[in-house]
Amino acid sequence: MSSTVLDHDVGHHEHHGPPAGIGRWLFSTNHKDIGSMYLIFALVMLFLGGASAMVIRAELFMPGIQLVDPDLYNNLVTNHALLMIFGAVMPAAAGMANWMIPLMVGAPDMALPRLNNLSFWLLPAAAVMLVLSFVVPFFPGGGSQINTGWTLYPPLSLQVGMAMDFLIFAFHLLGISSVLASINIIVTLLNMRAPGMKMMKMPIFCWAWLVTAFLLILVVPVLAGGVTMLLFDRHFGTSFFIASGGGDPVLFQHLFWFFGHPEVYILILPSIGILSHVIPTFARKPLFGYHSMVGAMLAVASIGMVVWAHHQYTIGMSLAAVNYFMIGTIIISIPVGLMIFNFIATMWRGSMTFETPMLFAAAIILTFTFGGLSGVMLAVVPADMQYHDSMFVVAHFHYVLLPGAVFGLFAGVFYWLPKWTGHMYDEKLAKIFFWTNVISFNITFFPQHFLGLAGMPRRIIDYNVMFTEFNVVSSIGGILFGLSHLLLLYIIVKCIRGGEPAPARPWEGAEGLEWEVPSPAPFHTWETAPEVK
Amino acid sequence: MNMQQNPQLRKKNIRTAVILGVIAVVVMLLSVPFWINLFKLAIDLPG
Repeated sequence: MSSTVLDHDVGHHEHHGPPAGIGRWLFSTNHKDIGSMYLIFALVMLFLGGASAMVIRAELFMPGIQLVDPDLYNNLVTNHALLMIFGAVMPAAAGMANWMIPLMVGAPDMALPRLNNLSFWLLPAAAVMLVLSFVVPFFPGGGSQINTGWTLYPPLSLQVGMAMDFLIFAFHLLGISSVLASINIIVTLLNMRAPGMKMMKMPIFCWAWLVTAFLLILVVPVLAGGVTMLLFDRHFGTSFFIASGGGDPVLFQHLFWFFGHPEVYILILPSIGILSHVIPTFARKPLFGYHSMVGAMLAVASIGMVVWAHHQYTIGMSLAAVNYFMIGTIIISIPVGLMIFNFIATMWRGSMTFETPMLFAAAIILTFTFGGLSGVMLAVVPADMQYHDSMFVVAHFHYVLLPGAVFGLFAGVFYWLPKWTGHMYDEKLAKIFFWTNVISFNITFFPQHFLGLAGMPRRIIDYNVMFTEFNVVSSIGGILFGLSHLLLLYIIVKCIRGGEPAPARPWEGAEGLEWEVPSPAPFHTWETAPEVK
Repeated sequence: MNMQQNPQLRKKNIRTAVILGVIAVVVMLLSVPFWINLFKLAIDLPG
């Protein structure tokens, strides 16, 4: 990546700054305002999803049924997953894309600013539908609670009450929002780059988002088709997934996981993009293997799209199909390993310092790799037959998604907060947050591997007394992990309200156009495109 | 954004967006018959 600026014009337009009042936010077409709204929305959803997770862990603290009934437990499991995936992680990544992509490529804004506004404002509407799907069953005539988990497998999802319809419409709105946002990102990256910034000079975060956006466009419509078929089966007499009518519920599993597996990469790739900036900055070295990094992301996305059925080994597929999905899944570890290798090679003999973003990067390399290794275990068919539907799977995907997606986003938050707010965050508090967060994360999820291997099933409210000790440890870790995010909130609010003024380039080793603009970034930037050598 | 994009760039952006939108719609519409037939093919494979 090169970012030599020959001519730039930033920060000269504060005189026509943001409009006043609520209109600024409702009708905003400014990428920074929309990015901020995405990030605030994600933070709210993180706390809602976290609250449901803490109730789940509190209930599992001891065997037996203590706090919630089994229906509510299943509803919470569903709700937690959906809020975290669609409410927290994806909008947070989209918020960072909105904030940073135009700054990084030297564009004055996203290519389609009005579409950007629509993409964001569909999200609160979807969130309302999502929350309604959770609460509607508590009202008279509201029907049964959603007990399917985020996968919505029929025939169970055909039997749930009207809450499922709210959820299906929430999926539609979320899908439309994601596809529109992806279109905007792709168009911005293809058409709005500064003169001289060729594709292979684009910052890796932009490449990560380009790949992610294409993935979204290719898989979200399939989910939309699947849930629409589900809606038709529920209300319009079709039998796509009803065995008695000639359909097959397993078809839905294929449709869902064709979306669901690439969704994992949709969540992870933006964070990989963030790490590709954080690690070179704090190692004070250029990223090792820029081209191989781009290639690895393309490989992960393309192979990731054709291995979905490793989530369904136990449905009784043919041996040929099972072999194909197993080998394909294991092959993904090659490009992912390449990314990790590039990160380590970037650190090698670098002048490293460990500010909070770099601490998160180091933690990600360790814990995400661990999650990847348990993923290889799960990819192996005969082993998976044993681990399937156990707490081992829960431990695995939390080790993949928390470090791979959430910690990466935390690294991004701390890395770019000075640019967003104009203030340095409280480094001491941030480091306390890091250690509390990462240690409690491991206390929560590490014991779940042993629980799963010993036979504890997932998604069940009660368990055998032999699983008590590890569950107690996991629950204590879970409550600590949840509470640690209050410190994150405090650090962010404190940073927004004030603090040591941040220079344009707050990190010594940071490179790229985004660090050429003052901190906080003015309302309008790059009205005259910079030229990149 | 208060700034106006130049008309040519604006046209190019909208054209690219429309192409991508059409791809998304086509993927959604094709997914139903495609998956039903692939699914039928998969369960007929010798195992």
